Amino acid sequence: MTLLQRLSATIIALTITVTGLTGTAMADKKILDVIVASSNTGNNWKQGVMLQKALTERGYDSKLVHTANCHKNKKYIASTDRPGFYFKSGSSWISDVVRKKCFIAPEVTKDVSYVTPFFYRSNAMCVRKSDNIGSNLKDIMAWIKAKDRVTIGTFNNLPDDFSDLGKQFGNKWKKVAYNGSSNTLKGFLAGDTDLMYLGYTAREINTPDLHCFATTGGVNGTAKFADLFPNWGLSSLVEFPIVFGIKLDDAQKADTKAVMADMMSNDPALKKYYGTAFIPTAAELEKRGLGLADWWQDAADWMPGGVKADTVNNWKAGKLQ
Amino acid sequence: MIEDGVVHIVGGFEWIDFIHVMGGILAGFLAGLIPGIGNTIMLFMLYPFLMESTLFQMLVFYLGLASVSQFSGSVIATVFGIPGESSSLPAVREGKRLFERGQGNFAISGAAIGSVFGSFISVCVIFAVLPFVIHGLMNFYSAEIQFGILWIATCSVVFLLGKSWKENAVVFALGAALGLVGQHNVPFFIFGEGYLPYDMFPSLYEGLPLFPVVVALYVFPTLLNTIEQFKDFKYENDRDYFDDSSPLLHFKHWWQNKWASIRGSIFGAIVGLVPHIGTGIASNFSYAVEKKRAIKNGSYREDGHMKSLISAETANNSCTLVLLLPLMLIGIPMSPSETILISLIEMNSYVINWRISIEQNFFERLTYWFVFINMVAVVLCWPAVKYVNVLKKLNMVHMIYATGVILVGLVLYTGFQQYDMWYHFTVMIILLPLGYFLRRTETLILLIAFILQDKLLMSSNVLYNLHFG
Repeated sequence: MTLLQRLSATIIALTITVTGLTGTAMADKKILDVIVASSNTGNNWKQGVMLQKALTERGYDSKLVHTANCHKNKKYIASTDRPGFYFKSGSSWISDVVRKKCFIAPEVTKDVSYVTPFFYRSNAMCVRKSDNIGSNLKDIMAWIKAKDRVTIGTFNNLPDDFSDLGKQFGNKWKKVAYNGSSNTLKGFLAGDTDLMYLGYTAREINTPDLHCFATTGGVNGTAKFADLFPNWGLSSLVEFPIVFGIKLDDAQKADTKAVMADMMSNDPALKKYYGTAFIPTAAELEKRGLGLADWWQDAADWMPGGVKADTVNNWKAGKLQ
Repeated sequence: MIEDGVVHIVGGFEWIDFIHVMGGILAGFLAGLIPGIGNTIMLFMLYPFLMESTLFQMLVFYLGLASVSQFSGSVIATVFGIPGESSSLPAVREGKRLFERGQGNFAISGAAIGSVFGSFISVCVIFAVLPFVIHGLMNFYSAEIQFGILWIATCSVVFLLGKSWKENAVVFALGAALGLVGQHNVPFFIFGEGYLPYDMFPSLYEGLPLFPVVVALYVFPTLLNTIEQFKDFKYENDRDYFDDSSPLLHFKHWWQNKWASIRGSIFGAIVGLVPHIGTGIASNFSYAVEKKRAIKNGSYREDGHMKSLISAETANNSCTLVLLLPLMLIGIPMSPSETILISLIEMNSYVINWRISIEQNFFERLTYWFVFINMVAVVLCWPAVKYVNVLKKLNMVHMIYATGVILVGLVLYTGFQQYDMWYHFTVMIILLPLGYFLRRTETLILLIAFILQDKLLMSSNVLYNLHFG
């Protein structure tokens, strides 16, 4: 055997050993991918990154997959063998159905299953501190009432339903829609609109120039929409995503549910993210008894113009109409 | 500042950043040398290598590519008289004449040293203006400012590029219409539910994919034009590039033209900010000013004018870093290759804005790398120029065909990555005849419209709803 042959044999043997060891190590790990089926600029992506990191730290073989939209997500689900999950709120699901004619119903096939509620987040209405309106609720309401025309910045998949507020205040309300929550906030801080209606997250709470005076759930000392705007059709809207399992058997579903509860309660980054914005998380929502039926109701609430009961039943059965 | 730079590069050094810088330098060197490729297509071709890269690595790679391609572009413009991009035109005019009278080596070294000098000047400009820019940044997001910047960018490509603004406007509208495919909130005749095959390809609801559109409607016409340019091309002179002068002599030659470099740097840093055509304008404007000065004082030489060349070459390098400012602060691309860069950044799931750029100290880190890139370009690329004669032996048309084949492979690969390979391939095939039809137009405008249409639409909608709705 020449030196070159011996060297080659050694390299091949080493490669086989290393590959084998790596393969064995990977085979021992439970696989659970985090799939983000929405844009990479907002809160969903941020949570996806934190969840994947927390899963890896807990010994899972986990990848962060960005499928970006409903159609690609469908194709990904059809093509993958790796167990994983994605989360989807009623608002996002309705947006897919209305705008993109894309539809993935859980529990219709084995590929996509219901796992657990994910979180329950209030929406908020905010003013700029730099407008010097004051933090007193009466002053804010008087300021709104004094305007002939009120512009409100929000994201573009919200039902166009601010006329109820116009009736309450006796003025005209105009929705100004931005592509995504990040653009909405930037536009608002730059002084585009009078008010802003957005999800109540740590970002909204920690932005120095922002004062969110009312929320859906009345959290963090804010007024409750239902009390402040009793006739407003959107006063009960929340962001309520659930976790959809992909290619999970019953044992994997139970495991995913447990690890979600664990991560959201014990992972420092996730705990801080949900805690700061007073967002009840998976385990607490399970305790409250929230589940798939509530998610379908939330989705129906987001449908512009509302939906009939038959339509929701068709959705549940996996039919678009 | 130099000390800080050394401390940064040594202290915060990461091999992977260094590999990206060197990759960018190599890519830029090739992009400038191969006619018809340019930064935009080269960046596009190398995307598979950048799929795992971080935001900073993509930026530093791009900086290497954009800076060094200016340098190598001026080499082939000088030696062969082949214009790479519009910014190379002064090098074609003056560099070629200087080369013919045996001064080509000093023309190339003058451009290279001037480029390094220009990079220092642009770093100074960045550090001088950044505090003011950051102070006013919150207002950059207001609907009026966003709308204004985007429409200035749009008008500048429509009115300043190509042969006819009317033709440009049609091409722009076509690009925007293609970008609006699948968008629900547009008029029904653009959404086209009745005649576009949404049922067969539900992915159409998510819009046309970027890669097939760029390959069919920008790269394909560009390559066709380049093939046409090289079909009957013959090298006009048999003179080979030769240089046996010492580096000190080269530096002395540049020193004699230092004021032309300073003027070029300043013009580049200011004029280069005109959206999408900044580099070309900076280079040609500096050239025109320097030539006019020389004619006025009687020093202009018809057989090649070194000062005009150095001023133009310094200007186009000086604006490379400054051009990144709007991209990194407000996410608006200012050049065609930046338009591709921002799409790739978004495909890699990153967002770029002033918060991220400042929080992660991108400007400081990039400026040090920028100076390093330019110094490497001189130290490594300048000696490599002596091998430029090898290009004469290559068949350029074959290289263009090879580029086309690579790009088709790239479309399939990126389609596969997005779980939709045949859809991507079909889109490319369907759009290729349109690319052929548009080969005599500025399809760069179509590309810019395709990528920026959603930003334009949103800013227009927001402005309308704020004031008129």
